Amino acid sequence: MNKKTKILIYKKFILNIFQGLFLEGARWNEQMEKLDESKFKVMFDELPIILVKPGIKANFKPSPSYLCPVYKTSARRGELTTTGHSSNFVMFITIPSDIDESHWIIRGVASLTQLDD
Amino acid sequence: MKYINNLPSNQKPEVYGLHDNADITKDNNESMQLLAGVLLTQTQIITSGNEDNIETIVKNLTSEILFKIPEQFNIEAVSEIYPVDYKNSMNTVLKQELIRFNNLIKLIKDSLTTLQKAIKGQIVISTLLEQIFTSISIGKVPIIWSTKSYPSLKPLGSYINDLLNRINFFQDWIDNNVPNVYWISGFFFTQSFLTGILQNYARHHKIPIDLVGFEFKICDFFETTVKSPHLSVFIRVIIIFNEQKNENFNL
Repeated sequence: MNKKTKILIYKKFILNIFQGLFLEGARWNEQMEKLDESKFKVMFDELPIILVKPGIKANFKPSPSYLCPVYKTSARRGELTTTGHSSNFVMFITIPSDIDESHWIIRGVASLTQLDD
Repeated sequence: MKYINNLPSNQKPEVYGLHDNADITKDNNESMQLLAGVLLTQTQIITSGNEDNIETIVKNLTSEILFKIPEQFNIEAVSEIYPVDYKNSMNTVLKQELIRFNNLIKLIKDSLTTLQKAIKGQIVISTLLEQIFTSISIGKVPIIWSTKSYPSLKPLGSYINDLLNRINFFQDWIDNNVPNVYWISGFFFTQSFLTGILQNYARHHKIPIDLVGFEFKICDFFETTVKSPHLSVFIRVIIIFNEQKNENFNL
């Protein structure tokens, strides 16, 4: 175990852990813990686990980050379902980044729940 | 003149402020388009040098898929273990997901068994069956499945494997209660799962659901062991789920 070892205690259902997301157009830099340019010839980067905690929106502290859309497939488009949701778009997740958001928007960075192969 | 000749004939994507990988994406898309176009011109795929004809291949494939895909979930039994509960929306999410998977499993099984009969010559081949036949012979997911399926661009082989993984994920959920780590790709309708989390939180704290949102934290910690129901162990983080502890998110 190294210096980063932490012990977190949570109620189940309060902290949720997600797994299985991929990043397209950028990668997660583990050392810097930030969004970074993709490596050459690596098209998709698997995101490590994501801790997700619900809370009151008004109390969130905004930090420099990219609001990354999550899609189910790389087509990145879907149809409106009867429930009012898209059949492809899932949600936005925030990924910490020092670079301006517009840079990643031009890159077309998005997160996918599954790849095409 | 010499300088102009030295300029590359193809521009690198950086010129437009794009990443090098943009070139790969473009080339990939172009080749896929070309291949799809070529495939359209073929009415029937002819295998050469192989004694098996397409019918045998498709027949083997269908029986393999039928063998791999498990039976439908027993929703009534599941509802007894995980009843509809005001305090826990996850039970409802689980049940709804299982209903969707059952529909898909039923559709796949039904269409494949009819196709098998049709190949044997027991029933007349319809346009629909022919479509399924062609899709399977070129390794694509039949269009009729996509109507009841979660969106997926995978070819047939990976699609089936992906489906099996999803079914396993939910089977594990049924057998071992709510998972500690959610495989978010496994859900049919991810939004209902997310709303389920928000609803649980909102009901627990008696606050309106539209005031509730998510906070995210990406961790470079990988799971090592997670079989105990209340403890997840990660290489660099230990998360203990405890009913008494407070809920601070100070990572």
